[in-house]
Amino acid sequence: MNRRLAVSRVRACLAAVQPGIRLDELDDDTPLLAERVISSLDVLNLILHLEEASGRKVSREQLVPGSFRDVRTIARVFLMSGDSE
Amino acid sequence: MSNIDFDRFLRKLSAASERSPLDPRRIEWPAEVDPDSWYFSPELISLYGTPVWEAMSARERKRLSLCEAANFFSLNIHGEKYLIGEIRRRLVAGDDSELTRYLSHFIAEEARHMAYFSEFCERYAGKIYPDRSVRLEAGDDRELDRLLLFARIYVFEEIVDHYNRTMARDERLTGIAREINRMHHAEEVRHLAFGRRFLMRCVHRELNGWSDSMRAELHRQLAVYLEFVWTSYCNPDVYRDAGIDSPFEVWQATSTSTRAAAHRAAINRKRLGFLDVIGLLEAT
Repeated sequence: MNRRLAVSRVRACLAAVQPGIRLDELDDDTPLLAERVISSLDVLNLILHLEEASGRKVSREQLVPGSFRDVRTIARVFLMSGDSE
Repeated sequence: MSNIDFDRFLRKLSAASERSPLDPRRIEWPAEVDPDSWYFSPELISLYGTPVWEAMSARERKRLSLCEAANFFSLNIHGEKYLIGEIRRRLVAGDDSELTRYLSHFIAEEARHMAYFSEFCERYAGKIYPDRSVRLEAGDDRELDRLLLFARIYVFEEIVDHYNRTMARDERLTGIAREINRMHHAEEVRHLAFGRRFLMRCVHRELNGWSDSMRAELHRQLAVYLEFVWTSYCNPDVYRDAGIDSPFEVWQATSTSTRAAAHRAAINRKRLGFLDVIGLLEAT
């Protein structure tokens, strides 16, 4: 999955788990947890949406706080891993 | 409660653990799944009462009950693995001998529970459902961190025990499912008694001296954890394994349904009122 598509899918996943989110105000490097754009509860739902978007199960190694830092990181870790970037 | 009373209480719990350890090796495991048996009480199944449930045949519902049981036991495995790790980490620095002694029993009991939950999942579902939790909230305040750990354990165990108690008594369930729920309930009763006393003691000793912002953070994190526990009870992998069409869409509709919210709220009210009373969790 290329970077642009992956980022777009991450944004769609975020909108699904947090319907009030203002995607137009969210940069790809906005710290999502540090700025409380999403909560730790949202992360569980987000993981399920990312699995659905990628067609792959996440691994325990991916489930560390740093993987959810921002849109760009989520795209790279969950949707582009194994692909050429 | 004075230190002497608390130590006396801990000694009683330790003595009870030493007197009657339940031995999972005595469990008689049926050779295979009975497709006509219930493995989970229908009313506790996440899809119960939904249009998807109504459209299922009796056998499909029973297949789903097996997958729900495996998910429930998997959640227990992951939850117990987490608490064993966290308590063991604190035992190293422990300086309270009665507390250390009882927590050693607590850990040993949790390890035994994991053994029979794992056996059930591997034997009848062919898998342990994966742990999707991410530990995000570890703060640098030791008092808050410790209180949150034991409050989380308590929340987790109260909800689990509601399910265990209900299913241990449910005569519709096949014997092995009832037995595992019964065994777990028998030991968790002590863990819950410990949790209530320990949390009450922490509140009396520590919480009154906390700032409003620390209390707010405690309430926020515990409320998020409670939601997290409930969210985990609804798993699209379960629906996929039960042969349900569009499992992800079914999960989305079910996890946010008013029925699910009412079910969770009723159990929260029934089992978590204590946390409200001692000021750890608001609006249960």
